[in-house]
Amino acid sequence: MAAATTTTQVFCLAVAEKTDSVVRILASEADLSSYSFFHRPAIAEFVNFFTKTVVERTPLGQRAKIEEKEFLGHVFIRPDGLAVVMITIATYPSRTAFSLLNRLAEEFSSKFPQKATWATMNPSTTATRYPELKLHLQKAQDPQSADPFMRVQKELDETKIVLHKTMESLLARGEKLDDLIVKSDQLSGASKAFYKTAKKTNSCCGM
Amino acid sequence: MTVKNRTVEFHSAVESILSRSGPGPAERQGLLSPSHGGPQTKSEFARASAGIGREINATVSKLQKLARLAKRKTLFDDRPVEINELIYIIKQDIAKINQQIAQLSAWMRKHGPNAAGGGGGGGGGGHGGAAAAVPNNKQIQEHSLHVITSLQSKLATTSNEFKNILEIRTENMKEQKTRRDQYSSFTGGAPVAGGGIMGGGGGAPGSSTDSPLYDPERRSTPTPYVNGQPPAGGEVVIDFGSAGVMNQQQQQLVPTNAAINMEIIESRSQAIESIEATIAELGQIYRNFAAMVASQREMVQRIDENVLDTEMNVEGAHNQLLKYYQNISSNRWLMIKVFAVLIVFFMMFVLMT
Repeated sequence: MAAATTTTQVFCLAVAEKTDSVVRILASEADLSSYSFFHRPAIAEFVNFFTKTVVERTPLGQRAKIEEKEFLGHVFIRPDGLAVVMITIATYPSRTAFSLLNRLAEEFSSKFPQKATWATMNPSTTATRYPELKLHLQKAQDPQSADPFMRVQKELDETKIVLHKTMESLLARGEKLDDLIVKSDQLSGASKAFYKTAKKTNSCCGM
Repeated sequence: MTVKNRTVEFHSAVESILSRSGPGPAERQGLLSPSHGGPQTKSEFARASAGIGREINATVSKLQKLARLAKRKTLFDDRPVEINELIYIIKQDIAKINQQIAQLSAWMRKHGPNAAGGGGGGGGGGHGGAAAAVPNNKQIQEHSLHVITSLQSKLATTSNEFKNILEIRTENMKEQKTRRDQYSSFTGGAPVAGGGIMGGGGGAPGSSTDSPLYDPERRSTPTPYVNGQPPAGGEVVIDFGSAGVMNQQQQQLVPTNAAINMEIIESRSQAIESIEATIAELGQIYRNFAAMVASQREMVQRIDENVLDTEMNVEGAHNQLLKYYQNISSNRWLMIKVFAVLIVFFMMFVLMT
């Protein structure tokens, strides 16, 4: 169900809870469609392991960017122990990743404010308890649309292209108008001559 | 900023008044000598305050010199020894002046009433003299009070300026330090990082914050391997055991967090700047657009004029033709004339042959 516009750039999006270096994954969504069917379990295992390790290693209240093989893990651990991890390809813009992580953390904590509810969550219940995660994952596949800056920038660029085209057609219009001017000049001259001739014929009578 | 010490003037004015309104010089003497230090104390007071004024002047000039030195922002030609010396000297001067002013005011308080009392007692006989002396002493007291207040206020402004200069100096020093760090760490970053990895050990390389920019990618890479399979002939770091690596990891991640935050902030600011530039460009494009459309409006107006002209001409010509046609079709006289001429020619030809 990858709704990637180009390719899958984000492989996994996970929310975890870290209490005194004990890490428990609360929700996780993965998109491994770019790997062949038989590799998927191994990759999934690796992704899980990566998430856990990264959350373990990062101190509370910090962000970190870990690079490994062709993956890039962005992790943000809030001071209250809530950790969000995003595993993407190596060329994902980090600003987008971290702003997305921020928003995800806010959303999660607003949806499940009590730590007690966290205790009942584990990755398998994600689809039922926290379906928005999947949506976020899909949206994040295209960093252009996820990051508001990039979105605005893209729209501005499109507008600029449209304006350029308009300018070109405006120039063409200018040329045509020039043509029209010349032709109407000639027409006016011809009609004047016509008038003169008619007048002459009329006035100069007699044989 | 100079302390205008007019005690000498006042002194001479008082003397002239004394010499003018002169009842018994004896009383005068009586007046003056018990406050015996009268002229002497006065002149002593004058001397002391003059001295203080001079020192305040000197301190102010030193302070200006210090200000000039402290404002220099060059990275290398800074002369901290001189500046520190100057600061020390100025501090001492200010303290000394303060002390002197305090002494002077205490002395004046002690001796003032004495002078007044002495004057009153000595001039007991010369009532007028005493009456004349008391206001003099009171005036002297007031004057000395004023002098002391003005000296104190000058000293206060001087020390305020001194404080400002010190603040400026500390700011400059901080700036210089950061700039020095920038320059030195860019060159020292790479070799230090290299040495750090090679030298390894539990302690993180004591390099400045720039080395993490080089490091975290390389250092973070081994982490997932440590618990899994260590790569064959991998990084030297791994050989120091996971504990050492973890330590380094922790210490490397701490500066990495700051670096990441900076990265995020910088990329945001870049994005915003580019958006702003794009919007400005768009504005420019729209302006050009409007100018071109305005110029084309003129062309359209010309075309319009030409076409109207043409229409007028054609209309006129059409009317002429209509008139002509009417002429032709209605003027039988013309026709008759034409036929008459034809017939004349025909007759002529017939008659000829």
